[in-house]
Amino acid sequence: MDGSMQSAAQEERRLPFSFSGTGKDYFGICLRTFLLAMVTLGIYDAWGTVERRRYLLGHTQLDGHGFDYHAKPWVILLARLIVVAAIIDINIFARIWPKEVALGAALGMFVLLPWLINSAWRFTLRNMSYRNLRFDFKGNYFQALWYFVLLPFLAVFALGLASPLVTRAQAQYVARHMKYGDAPFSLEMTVGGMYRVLLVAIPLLVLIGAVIGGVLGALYGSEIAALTDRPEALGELFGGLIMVVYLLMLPAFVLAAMSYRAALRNAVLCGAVLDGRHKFEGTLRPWRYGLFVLGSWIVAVLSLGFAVPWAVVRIRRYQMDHTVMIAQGDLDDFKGRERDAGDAVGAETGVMEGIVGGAF
Amino acid sequence: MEPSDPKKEIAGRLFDSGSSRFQPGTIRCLGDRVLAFDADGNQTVSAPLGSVQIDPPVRGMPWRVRFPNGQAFESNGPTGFDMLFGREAGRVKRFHGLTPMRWTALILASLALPFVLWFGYPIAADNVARAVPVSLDRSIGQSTFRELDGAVFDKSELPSARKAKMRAIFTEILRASDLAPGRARLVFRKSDYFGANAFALPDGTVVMLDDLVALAESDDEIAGVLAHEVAHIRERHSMRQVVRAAGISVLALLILGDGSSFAEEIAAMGAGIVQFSYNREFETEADLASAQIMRKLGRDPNAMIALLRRVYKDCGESCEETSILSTHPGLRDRLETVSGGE
Repeated sequence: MDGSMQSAAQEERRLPFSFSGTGKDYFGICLRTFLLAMVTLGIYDAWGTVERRRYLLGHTQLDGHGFDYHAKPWVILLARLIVVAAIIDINIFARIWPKEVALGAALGMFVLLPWLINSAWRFTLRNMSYRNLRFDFKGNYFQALWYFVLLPFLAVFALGLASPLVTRAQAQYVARHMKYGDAPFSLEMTVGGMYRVLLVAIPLLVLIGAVIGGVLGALYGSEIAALTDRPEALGELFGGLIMVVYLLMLPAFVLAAMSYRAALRNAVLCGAVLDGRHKFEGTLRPWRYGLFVLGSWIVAVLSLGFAVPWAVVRIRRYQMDHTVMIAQGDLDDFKGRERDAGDAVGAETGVMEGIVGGAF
Repeated sequence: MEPSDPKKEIAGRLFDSGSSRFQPGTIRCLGDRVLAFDADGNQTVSAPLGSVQIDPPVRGMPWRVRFPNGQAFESNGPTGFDMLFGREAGRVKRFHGLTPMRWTALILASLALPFVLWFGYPIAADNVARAVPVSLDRSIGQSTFRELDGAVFDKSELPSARKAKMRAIFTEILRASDLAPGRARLVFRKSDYFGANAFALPDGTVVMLDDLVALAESDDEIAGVLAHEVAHIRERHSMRQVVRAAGISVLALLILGDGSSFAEEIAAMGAGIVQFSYNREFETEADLASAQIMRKLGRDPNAMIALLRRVYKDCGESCEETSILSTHPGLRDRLETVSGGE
């Protein structure tokens, strides 16, 4: 036993992630939880949410073990009720004192956002486990304030040129406060690498722009040219324009955004290190991944939403098939203890505001 | 020591507490205690059945139980799970699995829900609105009026004789409408932004705009519009709309809480369409009330529609017909409403 462990400790192993869930099973879960949520006016969705996350995480496998999710449904329900009550209150007060409430909400968001982000990450990660050992997140209010509120605000003045730097800083903030058990993560990303990520999307956007311009020109060229003489004709054009925008712009946007996200995901995974020795690798091919996601969502939309579970499972499997952990030895030696997951209010506000969109 | 019953012993993986270590192990039930053993047969846990956390199995994955000391045990196959935790397993499964019978009931209930909501929700929301003190209507209306007055309203340019005449009509209508005298007031403004229009704000302020007065050809036309606006105030349409809209957003948020952004888009569109329908319902209610007041005063209830036709003369057929995307019913339907179908 000791001898084999010695050799295992030095051995470098490529451990691919995999996803073993099926569209059929997940469809059943989604349909049942959705219907139950409807007939209970949304209350059951807290339980449904936990069930769906447990299915997705449980089937996400690494080295023969699935992940687990431990959040208590009633905690999520309570958090949602608090968020909903707050939204109702704010809406009522906004009708009486619109200016004051708008100002207060903006200020409140400014003050609360770092806390929301930290508690969303903490709730998500502390409720996640692998091999009966929990993940952890310990945020810092002022760092979160700097990386998620002040820095993006300052970057506005750089007209988007600095956005890869902001993204990098944010990813590093999250990774460096993340833990598996007591083992810390770290994330090294080069500035050049970040700009290369952005470069994935730019030729695509240019191409898409050209295609859309071409189609618009071919279909409505003469009408648009006539607008200079007769601006009121814009109204008649509107229907057609909206259709073109929906049929072309939306898919094009999804394609560009997903390609960018794939490149970013690769960069994050390739820069991430667990406990100073285990590395990761992301091997998604951005454009192909973009097309894959786009195709899946088109089917999901055409099926009137019934294929959404199928699309979710398919995309997740594709992601995991392109994720690898490069472990040094075995994964037996992580230590840690269970911690209080903190309150879910931040997490649920975060989910509703889309703050933790990409969390695992 | 314990009589080992191989049928009640289940092999699986035993996970350490506070580390990522695991080893092959077994568990078995003895009385109402659950015992876990490591690969060498040493007992590592002994816990009362009630203290063991049985997670509902994730379909297609090993089932897992967690002991109070932090250790966990997982094993493949459903038989071992049922054998060990017979009654407990039943409870967990009942909650998380559905028989075909229950599936049918659930689908039927979901199909019935839209109808229950369609007819029941407005009544429920109106009851909530009724419980809201009128002073809140007042605060909202005053604040809205202040906003509008500073931004898009100018001073009325109507001659004072014309205003006085309309005020007299307004008093007449208030008396006929059973609305407390202090509850509504009439103000005159001019607005390039709104053009020919009139509003009722929830605090009871009825705003008459110059362009609308200019289009009117008789007192009855003005009276009809004023009666319509007074009805909005009497029936507290603004507050009822606010409560209904808030409730719908909350319902959509709860039902699709964790949904994708696509689902949210669809829900927002659906909520918008429902709110348009509520708005049309309130307009029809106000038209009916207006016609009733006008008849009481011996005035022509149809006159208002003639004025509206003049306001929307450029709009043509699309203003005559009711669509699911319009805030007001079509003029043809409104004429039918005020004329009482005569």
